[in-house]
Amino acid sequence: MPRRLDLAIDSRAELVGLIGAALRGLCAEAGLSAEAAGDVELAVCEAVTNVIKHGHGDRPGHVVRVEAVVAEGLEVTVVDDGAALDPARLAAADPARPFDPADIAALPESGFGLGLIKALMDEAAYSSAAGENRLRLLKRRAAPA
Amino acid sequence: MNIDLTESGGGLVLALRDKRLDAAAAPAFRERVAAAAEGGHRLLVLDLQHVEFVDSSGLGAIVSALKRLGPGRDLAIAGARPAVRKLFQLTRMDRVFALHDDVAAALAGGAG
Repeated sequence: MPRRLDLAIDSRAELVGLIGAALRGLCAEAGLSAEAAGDVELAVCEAVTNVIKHGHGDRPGHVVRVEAVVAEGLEVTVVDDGAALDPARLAAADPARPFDPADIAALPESGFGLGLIKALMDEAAYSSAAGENRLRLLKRRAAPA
Repeated sequence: MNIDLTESGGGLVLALRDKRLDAAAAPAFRERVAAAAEGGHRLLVLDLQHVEFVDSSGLGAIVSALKRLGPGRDLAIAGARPAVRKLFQLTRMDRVFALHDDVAAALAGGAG
């Protein structure tokens, strides 16, 4: 019997924190370290925020689902019916965007989300079919020392 | 967005009292910091010791605040928790912002 919990919020940025709070509990349940739990919270909140901002254009009234399975760590799938992401963007994403730290005026203010998701999780896979988008994220439990 | 402002010898300290600086909080944060920046202080210190979570929208708002200050003025970070530090490191923004352990170090060390 898989240990699975399904969460759902309306597509509003102010509700994403609820997902984060629930994930912290799930990460403890999955035996993840405090650092790993922070990684999961940030990655999933970035993913859900992306869906709200880009998938639904910041319009409320759409359901964003988060399916969490406690297994070899924590597996989290963000499910939405908004505009799909170009998978090439996830493949190319890097949280360390190129910039000159001395050129303040040209510093990037956005575009970090997908790169962070990849860097923070052990696996990130995106699929889109029949109007449903699924971003599956996995954080493995560290092997005992 | 609750922010306490404190004048200190070396600059203006902005202490965030909310636990999250995320996409929902970023617009109000931008407004509050822009208003605080009009005071003309050379150094602004963002005290993040109470902040448990910052996402890329929050980081973008911090970068935006630095840009608004313009040449000759700076924004330093104090008290960032490990997860927040990690966000700065992964995005390489730790090369732009000095990350100080606490407010006193930020005021003493200036922009780093």
